[in-house]
Amino acid sequence: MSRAVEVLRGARWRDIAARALAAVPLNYAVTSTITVLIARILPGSAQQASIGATLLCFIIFAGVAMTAFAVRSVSRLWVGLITIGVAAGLADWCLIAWGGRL
Amino acid sequence: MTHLFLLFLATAAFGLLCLSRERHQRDLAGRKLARRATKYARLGGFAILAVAFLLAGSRFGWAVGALEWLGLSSIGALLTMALLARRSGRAS
Amino acid sequence: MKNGFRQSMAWLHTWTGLLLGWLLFAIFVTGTSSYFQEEITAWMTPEVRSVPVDGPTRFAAATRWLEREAPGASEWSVYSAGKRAAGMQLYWVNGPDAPADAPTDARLDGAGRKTEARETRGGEFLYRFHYDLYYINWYWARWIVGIAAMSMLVAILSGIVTHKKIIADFFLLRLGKGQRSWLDAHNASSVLFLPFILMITYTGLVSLATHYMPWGIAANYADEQKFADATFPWPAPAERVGPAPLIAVAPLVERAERTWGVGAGSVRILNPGDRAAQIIVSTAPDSGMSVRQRSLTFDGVTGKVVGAHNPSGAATATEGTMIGLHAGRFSNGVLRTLYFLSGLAGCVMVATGLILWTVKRRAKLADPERPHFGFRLVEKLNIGAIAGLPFAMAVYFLANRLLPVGEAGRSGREIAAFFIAWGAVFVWSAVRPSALAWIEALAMTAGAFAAVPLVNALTTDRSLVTSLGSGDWVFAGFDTAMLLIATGFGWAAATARRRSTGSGAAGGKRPAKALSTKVA
Repeated sequence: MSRAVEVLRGARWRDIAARALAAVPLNYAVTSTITVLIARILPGSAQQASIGATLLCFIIFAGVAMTAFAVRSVSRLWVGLITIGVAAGLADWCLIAWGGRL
Repeated sequence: MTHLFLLFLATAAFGLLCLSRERHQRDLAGRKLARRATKYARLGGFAILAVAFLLAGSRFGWAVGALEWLGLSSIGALLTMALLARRSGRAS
Repeated sequence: MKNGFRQSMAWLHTWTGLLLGWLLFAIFVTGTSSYFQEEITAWMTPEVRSVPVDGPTRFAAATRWLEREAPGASEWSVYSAGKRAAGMQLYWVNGPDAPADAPTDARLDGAGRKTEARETRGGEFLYRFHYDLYYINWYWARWIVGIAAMSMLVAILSGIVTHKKIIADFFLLRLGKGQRSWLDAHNASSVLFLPFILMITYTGLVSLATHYMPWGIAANYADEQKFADATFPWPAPAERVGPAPLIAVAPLVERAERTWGVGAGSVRILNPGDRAAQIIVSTAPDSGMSVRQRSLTFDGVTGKVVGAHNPSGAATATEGTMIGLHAGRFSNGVLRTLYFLSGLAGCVMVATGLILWTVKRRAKLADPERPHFGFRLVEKLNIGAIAGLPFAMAVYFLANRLLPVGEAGRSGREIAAFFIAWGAVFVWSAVRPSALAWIEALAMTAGAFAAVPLVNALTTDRSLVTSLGSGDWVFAGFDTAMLLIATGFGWAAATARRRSTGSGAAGGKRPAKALSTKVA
């Protein structure tokens, strides 16, 4: 098997691994920060907001997982997801610090 | 026996919808249908589905009725598919 | 880039479907059987011949039984499974002077007599398996099942995206054409039943939502218990004050049923026989689409209403309805049958998908006589999963009839028989050539299912003939279903045999149509 094919095979596996890591553990972290954000900003009682946000989290997770395998650039995928996660996380921290929890 | 009637409606509706697809017309009707007949088949199919929905909802309540309508629609579509498979098998 | 997108979604669909497919098949089969778990349990306890009795009367009978058998208890609970399971399940918390090994639960029939039935987990084992698995700690089992469910969701969504001619090919079912036939069968079962399949997968995740995503609650609650108290109020017995007779329960249940307009499903009595007694009546599981039940709390001595719980709020209603749609406990008759048939379609979808993977790749094998390890592994796992699990269920039913009735621990042995049978099919599939293993496993499964009504007739007095004669539709239906399933698997085995001795060539397998109707 030629060296070129070996290199290509390795690159393909690294690509899949990078996308899988983005699609599962990174996804879980980002989806969690988004879920917390939704729970804080949904109108109505805290109880209803918590339940509502939790109901939505699965379609968010599935959407991000599919995106991880659909986008062309893996590095942009990671940068994008981490940015969203950090931004949402920051917003969560601020909202909880200002508003408190029950 | 509303249930049985609803199943009949669903099967008839999907039968018409199947008829409205040109690639299935030869197997189902024996010949290709005119453009107008195709259009009427499609409209008729959707109309019967709507009637079935209204019947199910008014008889069983809208929640249960909608669920039964969805389920019977799936079965009706499956029966139509089986009929088509049978006829296209025979034709070829 | 449209093509790249579709391609990547096709790749994602294949891998999410394949890696978790065998587990998903098991979840779908046992989950589908759960729609008739009460009927399965009834068949597995043939000693019990229950007569359905209306709500207030049976709760009164249960209370009288508890007054006799557990008078010192601090709380009693009586649960009825609705109109389909005529018996009642009782639990109680013994008082401080009861011996440590005193019983804390019992099963009564509709008239308030303790049922003496063989020890079995019945249909409830299959139901619990589909989300708690077995031999694995429930916490991890639910995570594994949740990962499978999310995989399923991604597989469904990517499958929709990747199916180029989803409308154009809607009615297409080309039989006898090898790979194309398997693809058509896979499409038929998934597209035609897409509303159900999407619903069941998403609501399955929602049913255990906080196990996977507790952060939505943590976002608003520093103390999780406050959320639980607000959402699932569970009053505890108050301090005992002094003896006082418990008021009659039947009129209270009647009053509650009149207030709601639906039947009562459970009665909980705190501090019975004390002045601080309370009676909490809750709605029945089949009273509405939402699983969140309403309750009324009565003073246990005077009968006055002292509290009520009415789950409200858009999110609660949505969540309750989603879980209700998944469990389908509200459904009866035709709708329940539709649930079951749709579940079967889901089983066919997963099975045809797994088989399609091997059929597609068999055509591309460099040496069809010596497939690479991955291919052989998938093929063996397919046989073990698709034929093995149904075989295990038939053996579970056979074990129920064949194991001695009075023995302690027999319910555990029935379950062991289930897993031993399942494992045996995996082993058989590993040592036999795959083509033969398929035929043999499918035939064994057909034989096992056919044996169930036979063994039933030989070991009980409730055979198919007797049931048909006495209008016992649960028993007649179960035995008939066994015969139908046996026929289906027999047809599949015969078809597999014909294909392997006939064309024998790679990719020449006709999809076993029977697989599509009788995999349960």
